[in-house]
Amino acid sequence: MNILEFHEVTKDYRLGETTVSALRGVDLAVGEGEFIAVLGASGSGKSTLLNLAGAIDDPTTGEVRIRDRDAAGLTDNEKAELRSRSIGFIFQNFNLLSVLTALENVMLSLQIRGSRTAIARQEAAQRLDEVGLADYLHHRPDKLSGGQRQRVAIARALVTRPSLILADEPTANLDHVTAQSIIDLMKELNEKEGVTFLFSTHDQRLISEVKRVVRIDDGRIAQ
Amino acid sequence: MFTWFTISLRNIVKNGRRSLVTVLAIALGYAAINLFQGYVHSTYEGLTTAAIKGEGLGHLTIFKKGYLEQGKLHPERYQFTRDEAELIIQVVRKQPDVQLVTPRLSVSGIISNGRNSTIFIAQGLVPRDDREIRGDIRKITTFDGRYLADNERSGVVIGAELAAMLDLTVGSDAVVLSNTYTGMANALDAKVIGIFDTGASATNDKMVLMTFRHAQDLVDYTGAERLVVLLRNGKNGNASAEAAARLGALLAAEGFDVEIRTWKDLSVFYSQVKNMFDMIFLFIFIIVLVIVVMSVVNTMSMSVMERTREIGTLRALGLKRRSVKSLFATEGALLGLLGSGAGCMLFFAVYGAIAAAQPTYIPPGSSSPVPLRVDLVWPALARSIAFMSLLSLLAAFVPARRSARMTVVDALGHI
Repeated sequence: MNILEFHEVTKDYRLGETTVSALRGVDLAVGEGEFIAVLGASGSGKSTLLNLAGAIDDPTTGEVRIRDRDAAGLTDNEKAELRSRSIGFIFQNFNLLSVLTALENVMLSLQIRGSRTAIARQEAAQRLDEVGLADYLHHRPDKLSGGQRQRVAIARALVTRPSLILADEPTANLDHVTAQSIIDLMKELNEKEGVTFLFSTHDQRLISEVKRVVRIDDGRIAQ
Repeated sequence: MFTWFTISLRNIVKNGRRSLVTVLAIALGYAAINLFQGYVHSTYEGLTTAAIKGEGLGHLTIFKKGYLEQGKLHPERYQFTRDEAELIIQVVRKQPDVQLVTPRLSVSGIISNGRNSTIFIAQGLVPRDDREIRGDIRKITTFDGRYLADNERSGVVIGAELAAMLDLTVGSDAVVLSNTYTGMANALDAKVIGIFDTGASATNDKMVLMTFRHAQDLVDYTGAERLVVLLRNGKNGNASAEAAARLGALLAAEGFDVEIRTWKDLSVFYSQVKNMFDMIFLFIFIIVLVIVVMSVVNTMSMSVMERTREIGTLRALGLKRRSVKSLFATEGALLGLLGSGAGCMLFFAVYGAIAAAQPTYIPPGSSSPVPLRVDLVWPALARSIAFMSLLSLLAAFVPARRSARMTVVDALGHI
């Protein structure tokens, strides 16, 4: 079963007097448990595709279906609910809240969903343990390395047990060794827990690990 | 909720310097409002006591209908006869909330020491009743000599400046001269038994207190100009007004054509000072309001701008727009709460300093210095905390609303 489908999706942006087409008629289907890399040059439309897949942006034309629901037809609150329950995000710059500890950052995803604090704490600690950060629960992001921060971000994305994780250049800001460990971790989660990953990347090591590659060129799926 | 509280509090601490400026602005506003409110409260209390006790107005005054318009021109027509006064006193005295009802007679004329003379205004009163209204006059003002006794015949108590003007001292003899209600001149002996400071320069050089009987003899009238009523626990303005309405209806039903005024109606000075202070308070309040709102809006706007990506992240994680607003509104309310807390400490520091220094000043129209007092008005202090927090919350709501309206993509892409 597909958890994500793009049907003839276009996305235009207005930049002053100019209209820029980021996506030009994209068709894509993502099945459960897939581990997909989206490749493309800068400005090719990778991030736009991920934004639409995460219901944080709407297509200009066409249809994006997430878990068989037309995302554009949802209200703002319904989209928020969908993101909170079904989608996890991993950002290139980690996007952790600087005033919260690693544990609190991971708990946040659950608390947004309405989980009780004690349960959220327990599950967040478990996820952090799984990504190898059991000793860093109470460290704030500025006391963590880049790799550790990205692990916290992965734990945060995973803690709500989403069916789809979207990652925008997850290894772009990491050194070689750390990037490899993050790749291994994501792959392990995909294989063991069946979590679907859709991520944009330039990282050749990551590309060599994926089951499927989607290439975007000038807003179109090239392959 | 606890999470939003934690995030808000830590962001306030993180932006320490900026938060401190806002908290100080709120604290200063809080302290300024409450110090002034405490001072005004003390002043109102003082003026209330001065009107009810010092001026001897009691809580209510009963006049014959039309006296306030025509009474000075035709006193005999618009004053109570002895019988009327006695009957009204009997009716009013039966009311459970009435502590005392007593007749009064105002007299004016010329007072002389035998060589020089000047005008005077006098209150003819029943000494026993007046003591109950004023309490011990010697405790509320500077007093030399003794007060009127119940069986006083010619003894008078006069204002300090009047005594100085005529070189009168306790024990001096004087003569008071006035017109009777039939237009004849009448002079009576007066012996100065007490000298007091009326507290107001406008009356200190002409006030005379004499017995009701003495005043009646001077104007050759057996009735009363007005009846003064003292209520039990009736200091509150609303209670006085309610009692006035009730007594008015009761006396009308008994066939008396009267009009009743509260001490607030009759004390022009109280009303003028209250109006002036209310206006100054409103002025200060608006200034503080503007400063607090601008300060919080500025701080929260900067916070929203700096944390736009954070807002985008939270929204991507599934946080709803209204929760984003709540997050920043909580931060605003917390700033208000912290500011009020600091303001409370500042208030008590200044309050303590004033209590220790005990400064005095001479207010306009006053004949002697009065202490500068600030009252502790607990309900006002608590109300101000709630108000400042609510105000800060509302001020934060404007930037919070702006942040919540941003699209997730725009917020995430914000640098």
